[in-house]
Amino acid sequence: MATTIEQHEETKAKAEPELLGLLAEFDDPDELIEASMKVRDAGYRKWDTHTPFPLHGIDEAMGIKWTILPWIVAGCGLTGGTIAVGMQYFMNAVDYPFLISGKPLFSIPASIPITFELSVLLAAFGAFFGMLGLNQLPKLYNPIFKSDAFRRVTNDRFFISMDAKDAKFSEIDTGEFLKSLKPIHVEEFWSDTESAKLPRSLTLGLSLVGVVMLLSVGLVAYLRTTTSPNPRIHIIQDMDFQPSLKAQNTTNLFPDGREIRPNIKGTIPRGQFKDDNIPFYYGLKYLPEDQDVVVIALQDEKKADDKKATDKKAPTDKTPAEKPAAPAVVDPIAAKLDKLPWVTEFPVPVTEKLMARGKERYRIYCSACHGLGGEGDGLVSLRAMELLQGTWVKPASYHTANVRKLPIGRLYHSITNGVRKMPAYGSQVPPEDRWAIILYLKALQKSHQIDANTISEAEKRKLRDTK
Amino acid sequence: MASVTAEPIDTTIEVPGKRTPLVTGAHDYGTVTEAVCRLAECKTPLSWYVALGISASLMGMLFGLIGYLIITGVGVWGNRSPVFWGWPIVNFVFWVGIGHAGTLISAILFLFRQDWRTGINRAAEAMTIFAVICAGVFPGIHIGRVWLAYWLFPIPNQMSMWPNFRSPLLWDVFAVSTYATVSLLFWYMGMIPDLATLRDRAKGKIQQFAYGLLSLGWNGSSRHWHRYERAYLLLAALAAPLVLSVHTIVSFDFAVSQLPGWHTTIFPPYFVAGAVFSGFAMVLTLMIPARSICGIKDLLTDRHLENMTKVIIATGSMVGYAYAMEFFIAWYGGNRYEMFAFINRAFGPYAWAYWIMVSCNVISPQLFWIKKIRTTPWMIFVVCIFVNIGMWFERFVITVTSLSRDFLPSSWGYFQPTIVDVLMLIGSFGLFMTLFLLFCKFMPMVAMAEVKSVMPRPSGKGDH
Amino acid sequence: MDRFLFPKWANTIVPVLGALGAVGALYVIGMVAFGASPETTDVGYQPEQPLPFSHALHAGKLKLDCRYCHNTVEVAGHAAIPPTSTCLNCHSGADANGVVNTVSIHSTSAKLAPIRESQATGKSMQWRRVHDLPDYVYFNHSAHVRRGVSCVACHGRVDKMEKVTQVEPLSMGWCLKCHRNPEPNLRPPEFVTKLDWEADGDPHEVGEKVRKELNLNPSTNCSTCHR
Repeated sequence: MATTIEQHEETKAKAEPELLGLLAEFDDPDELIEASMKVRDAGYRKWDTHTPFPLHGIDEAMGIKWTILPWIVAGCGLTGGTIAVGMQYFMNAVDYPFLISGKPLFSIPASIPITFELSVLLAAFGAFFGMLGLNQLPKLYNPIFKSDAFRRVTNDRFFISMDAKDAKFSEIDTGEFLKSLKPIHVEEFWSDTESAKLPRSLTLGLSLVGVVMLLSVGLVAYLRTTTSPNPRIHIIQDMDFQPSLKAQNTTNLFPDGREIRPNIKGTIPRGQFKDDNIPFYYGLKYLPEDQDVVVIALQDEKKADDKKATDKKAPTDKTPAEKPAAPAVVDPIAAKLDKLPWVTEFPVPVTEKLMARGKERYRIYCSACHGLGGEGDGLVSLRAMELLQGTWVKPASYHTANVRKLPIGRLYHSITNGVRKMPAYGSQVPPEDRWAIILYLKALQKSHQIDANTISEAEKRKLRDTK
Repeated sequence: MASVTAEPIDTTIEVPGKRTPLVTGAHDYGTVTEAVCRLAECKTPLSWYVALGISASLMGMLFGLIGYLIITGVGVWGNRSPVFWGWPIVNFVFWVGIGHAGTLISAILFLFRQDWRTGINRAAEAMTIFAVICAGVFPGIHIGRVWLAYWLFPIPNQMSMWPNFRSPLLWDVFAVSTYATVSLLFWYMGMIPDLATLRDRAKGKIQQFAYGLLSLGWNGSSRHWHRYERAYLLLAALAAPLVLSVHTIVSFDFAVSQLPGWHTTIFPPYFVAGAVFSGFAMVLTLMIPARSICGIKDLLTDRHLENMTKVIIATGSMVGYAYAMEFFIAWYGGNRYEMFAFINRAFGPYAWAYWIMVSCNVISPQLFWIKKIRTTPWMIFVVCIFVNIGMWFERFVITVTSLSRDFLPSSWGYFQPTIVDVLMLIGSFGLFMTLFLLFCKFMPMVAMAEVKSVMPRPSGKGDH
Repeated sequence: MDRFLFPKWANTIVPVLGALGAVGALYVIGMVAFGASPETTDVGYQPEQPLPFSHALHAGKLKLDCRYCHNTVEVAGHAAIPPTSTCLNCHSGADANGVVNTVSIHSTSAKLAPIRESQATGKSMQWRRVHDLPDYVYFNHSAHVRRGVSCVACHGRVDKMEKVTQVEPLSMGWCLKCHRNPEPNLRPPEFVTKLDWEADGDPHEVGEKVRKELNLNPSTNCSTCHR
């Protein structure tokens, strides 16, 4: 077999390529093994053999030490198992403990399958990536690939490569030594002078990708810090919007477009037949015979279709009310109201609880205008008065003789239907709460009538402190 | 250069004291390379394009139907109360089963030092991966709202919820995804040296680039081979129990639920045997035509086929035993619901499916006891087709008959697939064949390096 | 000799791409975690209302109780958007005769024109809903408000908002956070609408006391909200 030393003229011509090493080609695996033993015995350390398939016996011939790969795999496998057990325990027993079919939150047998799978998965990653890492692959560029003969290393030829970095390496001696191993061919391989730097276009392209990535980071930051008048985009609707009817939505199902349905005309909810409990629902001892008055007194809710009521109400509103504390105005309606049989006793049991409830409701619905103490100095009223718009009237104080003497049934009527310029609160405050408010109002009135001398010193001090 | 004996030998006859060669014909290292690489390097035959065209259109149909399913909802399937699992799950279990042969051949036979595996392992592994891909499609779309598939994995989410690790369905997610990943790694790692071969032989620059990229700069270094072999052995050792675990866990999907006909302890071994059975049948179904078309009969010899038929007899008999044992236990256990489930299986409205299953799975593989049949490729092919059909019906019988008879007779039902069900199954074969054809064309179909390592060395020395 | 060999920089780019891949993976995780989170997609929703109603003025400066308008909140699942009549308590316009029947402020304001239109036509105001849960979620205001969960816990300091904005993600995880550990959001029920309330002492202890007194065991079962 002819042995020659080829030199790459092209590569040599370039600016000082370095000699990287020598390649010797064999065509028989057993010859390679014999040659390898000789290289090993000659004391070379940085050298390798290249074969198309794993050659049995070459490891001993070359003196390759055992790889640490099994340990990496074992480590990865154990990590996987630990992660799996930890994950299952944390997720099902700690972070999201959820009882299903009375099964224990965590049990060893139930966690075996996943523990096994994850151990195997990570161990397999360890084996594959560990092998690549230890072999320093992927290594797409390799000067050795420039050799044309070397293309057959993955086919049917066997090579010994001597690294020029080996301490014992010298171009001539090593070359002679290789020839003595009777290869079919020996050649040199040289380094490239081209730079390992990334081409500019690539660097630019990568930077561009980075910039685009930063843009979306910016977008997210923007979305998180700003408000938007547009609702979230529902890419997938799932069942976010169902055709079921909901409170206060609209529908095509009914001519009035409301989803929430009013009571059917002429029906009364069970237990709410007002005539069963006239004092409670009307504030009257009984319903008077005079229907004309009754209509006014009973207009619990303003009904647009109830012409009679609006016709009768209009004159009431036209009455000047600049002096709310003034004596009863000469007004046929008011006069009729005065004559009605208003209740004077609470139609509900008077309890501590009702008083507390009244206080709370008073502060929600009444104090805005009437003030916390009932003097007609609520924040809303104060602000409205400031604006001097004429359409606002200072609300009545509860502490005038006129108001004090009003029967509680009359007060109930005022809350329900409004009085003079005060709008009706019947739709906002249910009857029970109106009575509670009246109870609290009565207490408020009483609190302004107490003779200071009847209060003990301790209580006075307490009052002073709370103020 | 030396080569093995040139005269034809019948590799199906064992001569005591003499090793039967695994590669027939006058082959040396170079001609093995030549034989395997030919398909990737030569002009592609028209038949390949025709086959790819058909498979790809079927695959397109599958994807189209998946789109239709996603847009319309799972109502396009025949899944109705009480049979909510229906065809998609039948298809899933069927494909996962098919996906068992590859890694079994690669891993378990590797560990048992069955060198004959080298001829078939690459194609079988590829088949495994493609079958697992097909399998993965079905449970993925079976959940109905595919965009919520991430709920299957323990990913932190705005709902502050975690999957239920006590459910076998979740075990299945882990088992199948781990199996797919490890099989892929195993397959790819095995291909790296062969891809390097393709790289070094490639004429076109595109091929040189593509194979160069895929082969990661493999240069055949013995130091690399040393670690590579270690890694391969370790992967095999990991994959072997994994193969067994996957179908075990798939069987848990059924066995852990308390439904007569499902709730049995025989399921894991029975499923694994069935999976190997169907997987080998599918390998044979694919390899018998492929080895003729690709001209690799010398590497994939009659002996390979015969060995595989032997595995089929063994696993087929195990499956038959399991069928019998199910009936025995149903009777012996004395549970009337269990008894009913099995009588219903064999004589109820699905009796037709049951008897198709029994005749295809239990009776047909027994033909392989006859040497003539197991050494005649076309006969093997026919029997394997029957096994494939039978194994699909096995999953159908298990899934559908048990579900169709709910505990309350008022909720009994009869499952009827829709045309979408049927077309999706056909489409999944399209997906499978498309991937397999692409593989045959562009990837090394036989593990060249491994075949070379079991060939006699030219000098006649060495341990093989 | 004309064959493709990878250039020398191909070896440089492998670790670069590896690092970029790792960064990219983190990036994708980060983008999904932060970008797709309800904190990004839902928080900050501030729809334009048919008229510039200011909660900051009404609930803040004038100290109107939340329940003055949203009066069903304690008894119903749904906290009512007030009907026009509630607005008319103070902002009534003139009737057909040119008379303003009840006390009214800004009765001719242009900004309040939609209210007067609604008053005249009887058609509802088209308020835009700010806080909207998906329809597969059952949420009951009364169940929360009466058990000491303040408005502020979900809606933020509405009394400081000129325009109401969604400040909480209203995601399932966010709901569960409180259902699993309610103490930080509990206060004596009488203070639920007092948005500037601060616990007298350790908020956790106060919450724990409320929890004990009212015997609160918020459920984390699926059917609590998905029914």
